[in-house]
Amino acid sequence: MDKLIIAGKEFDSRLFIGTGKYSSNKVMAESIAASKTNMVTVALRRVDIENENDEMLTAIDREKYLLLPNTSGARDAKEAIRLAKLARAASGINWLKLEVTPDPYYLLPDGTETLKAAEALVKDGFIVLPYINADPILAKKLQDVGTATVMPLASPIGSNQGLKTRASIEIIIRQATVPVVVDAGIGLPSHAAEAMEMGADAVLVNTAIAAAGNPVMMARAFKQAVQAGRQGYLAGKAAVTTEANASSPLTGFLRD
Amino acid sequence: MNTLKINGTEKEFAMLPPTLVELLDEMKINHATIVAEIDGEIIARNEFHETPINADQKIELIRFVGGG
Repeated sequence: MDKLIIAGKEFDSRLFIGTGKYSSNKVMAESIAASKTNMVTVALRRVDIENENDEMLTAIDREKYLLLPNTSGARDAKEAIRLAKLARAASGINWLKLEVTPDPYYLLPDGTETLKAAEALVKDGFIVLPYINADPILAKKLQDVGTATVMPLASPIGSNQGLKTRASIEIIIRQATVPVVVDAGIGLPSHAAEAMEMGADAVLVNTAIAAAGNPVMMARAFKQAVQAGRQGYLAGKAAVTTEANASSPLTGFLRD
Repeated sequence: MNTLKINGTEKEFAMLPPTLVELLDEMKINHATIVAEIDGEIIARNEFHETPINADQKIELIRFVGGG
């Protein structure tokens, strides 16, 4: 069986789902179910002390889906570490999507702070899945300090632009000793399939599904695209050539 | 004065609730799904009932929300 293994845990699905931006908990739960994912990301925010709070967590079956809390909102390593510890206290698990995004316009991750936080969190027993720019040198440094994956971005978060960083992600995949999860910017099932055909181990998708006209249908489409892309990768692609190579026989033509 | 700073907002209490659980009950916050931090220290959920509340504490009440 072709199973994904991260930090010793087996995953049937190579599609991870973000839980932000859904129109309702019901649509979110149905989309998660349709995607057949095994892992969903969540964020930490202050409780609204003036109004009633929406309990989104009750819509997620924690027997079926591993929670992957993120450190979104962290602007440096210190804030990320604080959020990580709160997430562990809240969820009771030590899995963490580490993200440090000081830039509010493009939400691009700060590599230096991410590496610093990753090193401290790995030492503290966290299973760290860092969100990074598609920087092969940084990816190597992160896997060397013991992160469970590396998660390079395809394009800016929520932009749906697809694999703008393709060439760099290819290098990251080639040198990776941990699973490579393409995270952020994947806007269409074809983008997810392309990442999987390249040899990515998994993809993480949120906006493309949550903001689709029909999120449940889109979740199903992503599931199929990730499976197709993975099989295409495993099957081994045929050679690309400059000239044509006839598919039909070059003998027995109906002419003299 | 019986003031607490909760999630960045100063709140006055006629009488401070003795423990964190009672504070959450008074504020009608479901403690099963939140995590708390008092003066920078994380309080585990199973310690809510034995964590005393004192004036001028900085309290953060945090929960999971949808995110990517």
